[in-house]
Amino acid sequence: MKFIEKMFKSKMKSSASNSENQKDVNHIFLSKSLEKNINLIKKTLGESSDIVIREFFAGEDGKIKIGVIYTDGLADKTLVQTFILEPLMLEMRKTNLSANILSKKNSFEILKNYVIPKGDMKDVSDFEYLFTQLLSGNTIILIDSYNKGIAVDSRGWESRDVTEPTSQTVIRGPKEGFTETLRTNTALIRRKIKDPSLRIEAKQIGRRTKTDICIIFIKGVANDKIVKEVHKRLDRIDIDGILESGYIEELIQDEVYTPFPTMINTERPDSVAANLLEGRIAILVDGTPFVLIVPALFTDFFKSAEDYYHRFCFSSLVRIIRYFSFFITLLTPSIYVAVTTFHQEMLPTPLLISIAAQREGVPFPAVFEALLMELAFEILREAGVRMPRAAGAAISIVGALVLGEAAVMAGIVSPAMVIVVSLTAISSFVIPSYNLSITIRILRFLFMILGATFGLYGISLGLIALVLHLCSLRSFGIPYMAPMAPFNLDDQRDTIFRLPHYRIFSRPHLISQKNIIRQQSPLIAKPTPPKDYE
Amino acid sequence: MLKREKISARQFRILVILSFVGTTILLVPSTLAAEAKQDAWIAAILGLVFGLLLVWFYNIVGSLFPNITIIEYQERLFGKWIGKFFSLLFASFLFLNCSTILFTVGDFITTQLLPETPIQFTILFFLLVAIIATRLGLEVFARAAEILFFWVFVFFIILILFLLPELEFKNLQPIFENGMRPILRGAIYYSSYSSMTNIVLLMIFPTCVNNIKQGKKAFYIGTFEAGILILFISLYSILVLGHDISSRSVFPTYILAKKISIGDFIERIEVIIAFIWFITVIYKTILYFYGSVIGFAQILNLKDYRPLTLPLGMILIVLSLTVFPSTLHEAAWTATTWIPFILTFSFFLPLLVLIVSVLKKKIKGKR
Amino acid sequence: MWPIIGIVLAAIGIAIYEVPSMIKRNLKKELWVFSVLLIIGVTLSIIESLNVEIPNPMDWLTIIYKPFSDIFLRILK
Repeated sequence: MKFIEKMFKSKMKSSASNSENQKDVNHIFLSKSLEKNINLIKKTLGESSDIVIREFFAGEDGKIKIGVIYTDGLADKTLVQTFILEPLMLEMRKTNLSANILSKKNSFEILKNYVIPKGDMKDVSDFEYLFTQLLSGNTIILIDSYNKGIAVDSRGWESRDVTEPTSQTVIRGPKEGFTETLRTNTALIRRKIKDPSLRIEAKQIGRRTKTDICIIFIKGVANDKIVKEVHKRLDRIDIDGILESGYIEELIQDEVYTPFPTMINTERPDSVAANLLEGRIAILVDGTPFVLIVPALFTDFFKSAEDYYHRFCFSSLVRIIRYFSFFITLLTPSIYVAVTTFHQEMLPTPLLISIAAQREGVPFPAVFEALLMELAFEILREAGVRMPRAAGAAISIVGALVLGEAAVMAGIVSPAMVIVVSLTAISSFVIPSYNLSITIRILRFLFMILGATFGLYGISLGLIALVLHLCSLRSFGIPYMAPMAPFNLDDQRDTIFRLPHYRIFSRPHLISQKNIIRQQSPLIAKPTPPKDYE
Repeated sequence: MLKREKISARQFRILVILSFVGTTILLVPSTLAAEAKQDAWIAAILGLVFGLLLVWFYNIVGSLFPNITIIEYQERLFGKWIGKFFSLLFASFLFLNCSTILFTVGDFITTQLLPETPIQFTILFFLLVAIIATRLGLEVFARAAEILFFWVFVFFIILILFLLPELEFKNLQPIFENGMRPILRGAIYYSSYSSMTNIVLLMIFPTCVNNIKQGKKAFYIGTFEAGILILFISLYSILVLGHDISSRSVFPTYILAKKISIGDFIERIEVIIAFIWFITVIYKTILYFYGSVIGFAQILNLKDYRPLTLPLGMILIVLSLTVFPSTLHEAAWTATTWIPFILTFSFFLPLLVLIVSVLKKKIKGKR
Repeated sequence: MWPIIGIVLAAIGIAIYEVPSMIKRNLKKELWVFSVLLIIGVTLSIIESLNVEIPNPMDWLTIIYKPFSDIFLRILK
């Protein structure tokens, strides 16, 4: 045991020393000599071909030495040229800022205040910040004999347009989806909520990737304790790189050893806005259109944005169908296996005879058949996601023919089994949230094994154990199964079914614990059309 | 001192109902019908009254120790050694009772549902879920009870509604044929399984309930609701099956469910009653197991009870396999030793605690 | 034979699952109680699987309570 610990300790030490070396370099402050600064930049970046370093002399008599550095591809070249190089090189000649006057007045301040017409400018005094700004697409302006530089915002790169989200489609509702650029995404959210209390707090996470992360919430509506908790957990992360919000999700979630998701992820700005209004907190990660929403409870994975745009009867019905499909997709194969193996007397006699006849020629026991078919379907599903477009038609034909027809004709599986598998598969697509359907796929196999060993007794106990597990989960401190348990009557207005908008006048109780009332009481809000038009 | 978990009065009420109904729903209609014949339903009402009186008693006893469990209180009251001795007896009583519950489970599953599975595995699986619940803690299984009770209620309503066509009121007659004595006997047996076994709740009540006053009310309401549930079951048992079949079968409620037949289509759904039964019995098992594990942990002054769960579970399985070599033994036990045994722990022991506590206070007052 | 192996494996599994966390949290008393109970459990399980008679607490209780149960039955009848 102890030597295993020693092995781990030595590995940790070597990685720690690596990061220390990096830190040593980056805590160096800018020097007053432009030459030295530029040399250090060149040395650290290793003569990368996409870093452009432009040194020139500016001012009326051309004696002020200035260096402009930007990353080609990340910085908008037109912007750099028009707003940075032109003013510095051309406009300054028209003024009478000679080197002498400049040395008396602060040329740095003059440059900042009078010369460069750009909105977002920051001072740079140490190299770590300089490199972060440079590599994010901003332009660095360094002046000789000043140990401070200016970082000017000049981001502009090729990015995807705002298009329809591919993973969460709706029939009615906005068809905008997030893109990979953080600023575009925050803008999409600002457009939905024009409240000044909407706070966007930025962080950078990841030692090497320095990914920009934003935490968005509505101050006064979101629970301050949860906001603090989110900050605390994000600050705890010390990892090489964050490439997608999935990394963050795993690193800050409450429970690791559970198949159930405790955070919603969505591509739609309207979903995010609706959740923010309920008092939740959104985490945006640069580089991915998937936004995390925290805290998330079990019933939230059954809600879709569309529910609020359609009429309430339809929405309620669809939601009930979703819950029903949850049970169908989880339990159908296991119930089939359990009933045909242990409890044949439960089937009506004609059905029993027909199933028995079908299973006559099948060499395997029901459970093996079920596992085989489910596995085959999972393989088909994964293949469908990864395959190249061109092979699409071939795969679907193979799937339908092979699994459906040929397997039955060959006597490997019974037709009833094919029906069970297809019913299960179709029901699993009803659930709007993809990460919950992944969970169900895993649990389904577990229930199949339980059904095969202990029949319906096993499935019942498995369900009880599942409920116990679900009740033990928390999402950022809030019990996962709220508002079912602990039961809250008010919150039932928007869980299993949805009451008309004028009746949903409060936010979910445990998520937003103050400022719960969000609209006037239902008595006043109920629409009252005029009786007659005379 | 073990960490105190808190549950709400509503969750406590549901635990009361589940614990009361527990094994009662499957075993008691048979005993009631055997003793009181067609007056079994009157015995059920009488049993409910006994139950409510017992709750009144438990509420008084529970008020003596609002922040600790009965086991910890016994130690304080009787002094270290005598108190620990009594507590050990109480915890062993809970443990032993748990094994009898497991035996009943194994018996039912092996005879009615899974005849080919060895009984050890059925009991093992059942106990495993109870162990999981105990390890996750009171708050978690109380929350789960809220969700699961909803289904118990739904299935119970389905049972009541779907059996309406099968009711034959002539099975109730003649009323009071054999007089009060058999009804009283039946009521006492029924109480012994339902409300007297609720003594285990003194391990949770009142320490773990948020609001003690609401907790006491919840105890009453829960007992009342559970009593109504059992009343319906025993009433239906007489109305549909008649007292003869009810008294002869070991599990009349299961046969009751088999009788559901709507339009020749909705038949054979007795698994519904089995599902209700799984939930109520597993909660009784969980409460008894949790009670005994916490009890042992408190006697030994441990900081965490969780490590004890798995070894105690192992011993419990063996115990449940040896405790009754056959159903006949169980029937003999129920008819003879069971009632004095349960009375000792659910009535006389708390009474002793109450009396000693009152005396001690009077002595202190005089000083 | 097989049941005994199964029981011992289960006991080892339980120990691997519980002991490290107890050691880490320095719960010595719990460790003692755990080990004692585990050994009792394993012994009883092995004896039971060999179909040897285990003393049944119900029998003792029946004997202890016999006078009370007699009184009780007489009252009720």
